Amino acid sequence: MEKKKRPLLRSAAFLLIFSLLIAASSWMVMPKSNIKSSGMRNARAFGYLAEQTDTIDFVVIGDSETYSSISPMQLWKDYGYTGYVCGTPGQHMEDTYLSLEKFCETQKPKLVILEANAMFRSSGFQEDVQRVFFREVEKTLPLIEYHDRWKNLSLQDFTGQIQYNWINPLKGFVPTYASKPWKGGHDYMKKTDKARDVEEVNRHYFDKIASLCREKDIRLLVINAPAPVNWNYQKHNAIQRLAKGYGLPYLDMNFSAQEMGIDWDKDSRDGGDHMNVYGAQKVTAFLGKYLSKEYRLPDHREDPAYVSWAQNYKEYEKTIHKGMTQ
Amino acid sequence: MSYQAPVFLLLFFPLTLLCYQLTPQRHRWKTLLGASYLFFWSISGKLLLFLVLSTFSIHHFGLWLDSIRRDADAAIRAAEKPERKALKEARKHKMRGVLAAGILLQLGTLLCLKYANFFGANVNLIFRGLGMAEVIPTFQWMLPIGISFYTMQAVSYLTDVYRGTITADRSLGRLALYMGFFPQLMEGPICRYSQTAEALFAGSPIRYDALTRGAQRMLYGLFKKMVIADRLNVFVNTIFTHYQEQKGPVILLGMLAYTCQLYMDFSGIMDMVMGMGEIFGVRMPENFRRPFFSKSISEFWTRWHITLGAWFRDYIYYPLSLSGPLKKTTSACRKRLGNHFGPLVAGTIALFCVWFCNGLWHGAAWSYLFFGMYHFFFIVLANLTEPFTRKVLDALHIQRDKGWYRIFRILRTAGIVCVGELFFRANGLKAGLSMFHKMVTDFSLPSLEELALGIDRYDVLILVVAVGIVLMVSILQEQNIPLRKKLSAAPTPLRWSVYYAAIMAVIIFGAYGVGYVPVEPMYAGF
Repeated sequence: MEKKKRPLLRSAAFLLIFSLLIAASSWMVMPKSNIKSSGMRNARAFGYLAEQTDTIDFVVIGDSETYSSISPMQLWKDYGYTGYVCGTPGQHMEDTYLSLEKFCETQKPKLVILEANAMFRSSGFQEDVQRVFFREVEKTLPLIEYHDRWKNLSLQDFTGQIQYNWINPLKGFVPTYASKPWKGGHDYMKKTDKARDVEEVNRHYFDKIASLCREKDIRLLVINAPAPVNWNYQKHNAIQRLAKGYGLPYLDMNFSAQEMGIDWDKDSRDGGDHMNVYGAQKVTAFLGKYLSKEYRLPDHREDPAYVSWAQNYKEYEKTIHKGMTQ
Repeated sequence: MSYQAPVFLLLFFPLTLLCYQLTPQRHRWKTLLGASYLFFWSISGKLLLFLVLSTFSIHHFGLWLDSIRRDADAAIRAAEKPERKALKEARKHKMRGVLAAGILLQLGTLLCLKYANFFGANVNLIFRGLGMAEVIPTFQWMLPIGISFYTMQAVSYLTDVYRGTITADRSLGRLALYMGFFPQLMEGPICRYSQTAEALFAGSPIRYDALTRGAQRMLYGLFKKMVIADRLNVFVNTIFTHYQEQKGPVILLGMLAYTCQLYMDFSGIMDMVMGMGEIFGVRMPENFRRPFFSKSISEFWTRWHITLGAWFRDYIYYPLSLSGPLKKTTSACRKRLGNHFGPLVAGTIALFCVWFCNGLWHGAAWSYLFFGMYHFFFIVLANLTEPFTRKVLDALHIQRDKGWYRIFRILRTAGIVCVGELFFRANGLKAGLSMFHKMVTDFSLPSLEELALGIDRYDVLILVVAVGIVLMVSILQEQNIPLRKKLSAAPTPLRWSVYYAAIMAVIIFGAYGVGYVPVEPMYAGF
């Protein structure tokens, strides 16, 4: 009996020490701040970590279409809404879900705006499952996600506490000023009844996002920003049917590009894949109008608790003006 | 899903171990087979059907060969002496026919899926040259993972049944497991039925010692693959993709880096495979034995991808050199050319076939054929110059296996191998020749910026330390020092420190995650 127990005890001791090692190393490599130089990935999307808790009313989640098309500060100026864009480039749906989950750790948004372009990002079921598994491992063990930071560790990483103190005055928006025309015009949405397949893993994470919103009593709006290179009627049909199944509103702005005044010769930065700042202003104005009509988000412009937002707006304005005039 | 993927290491493999151990012993082979087919499906999806059909086919042909032998043997025993010879001939003839059909089915599938476009493109090229229209279309066929490996196993099984070294297996399950055991599916080793089938089917319980020893070996393999091979990936890719922009010494570095990458990748995965086998109580044949300590190209191929070399030796070289026509050639040549050069003629013909097939086995491209012929050339050259070399060395009182001459031979062999790998990796034969030309004619020194091709000084530091560790381990193994035994006997704190250091090295210094392109096991592509 004693002999049988020994391997078990040894294994347990080995694993215990190993867990401690992993925990210590994880803490060591974790970014101690929310700025890029501290090793934070996509730091721009995590500026909200330094915002006061429960001060942001809406959050935009999704891939690069989000931060290219929607400027929360414009909505602050026009309506007094506080919002943040958490989108990151080439994002997969599991990351979209995780970004919302993380956002909800410090904020209680009233509205989640899900840009659905990432719903069609898939490498096939098997690959998707492997990627999701790896992402879950990364989430559980920060050492895995930030393992490469050994190259840039500083003394603070060994001694310091985690302090998120960088506020992003652009609130996640990434303005670009170059133009590359889309030559296909406005009628790229060719009507069809067919719908593109949505991969199982993406459906699963859509469901998780919807459930999280339901659980936290947050309203969920599904949108698509105008992007003729990425979007078509079949994708629209797929998302519309999915949203309908969940009883969710769906705003596909690809049908409204003309109405919002998009000039495809000037308003895209890369030939119809993403908006530049000029296109983003038009998309944001259109979205703002829709939000003001459909949702009762509070206007904080006169609220003294939100003075920092007014200051941030000035910085934002300066940045945009500088970019446009250069 | 490949062997170094987190989903394999943290989910698939532990779950398979758990299910295997919980299954009653006589059903364990089913758990292994189920896991193996799931693994195959996760990579190649519906193409699993090819593996299943291949298994059915060799099962059927194996039994057919056995039944012919059994019936014929009974007839021979019952026949009068004068008739026996004719009956034996008839048996041989019939069995050869069945063997040929069985092998043709296996190789035919491989040829169709892997080589059809290569042959088609070359035939079309000839037609175009003659001013005629192209006749062979391009096929968009997917290649099942490991087809080059399991086809070799299938052919060896049928041939061994034909030769009578094994009897055909009645159990389809055992044969299926022999063909599809998941650790060896992607990159081998190419096992013989007699080496693994019984152990796989036995379902031996997992023992604590085997588990720890297997995990040790897997960890070492993971270290080679993820810390060294994958970290070199960007550097190697940049040089081979943009070779026109590189200076000669950079190409030289690229060549050395690729050779290192390929070795660490392939031998690292093999260490993992061996480790997994060890855990299940299956001893597979080793595929590597420190090849860069070889003193000649012939020796190199007995240390690098050993099971492939052994397969070609047993199923192509020996049958060919012992065939009637080549035997006659040997006798005729021996009379005219003497005892050294005489047998070389037939041997060289057989060798040519081996290296032609070896080159082609690696891939359907002229650069792979060149790679095969390149090694063939150096082996033949060594055979031809052997008497002369021996005389010179004797005259100079140089001992070929000792001192500086031994080191010279090792470095010379490594040099030849590295140049071969340059052609092997280059994007086509033309690119390979161009790179080689630049390497031997352009000696302008690159600046540090020109050398920073996707790696920084920290990467270089890690690579130097990691390669140093592997080199040290190899030197000790070369001196027959039983490292693993010594490690097992070491005091627990020391032993565990080594394990923790290795695990943490893989986690922290491994080239994976954001900023790295996942690198599939390199030989899986062949």
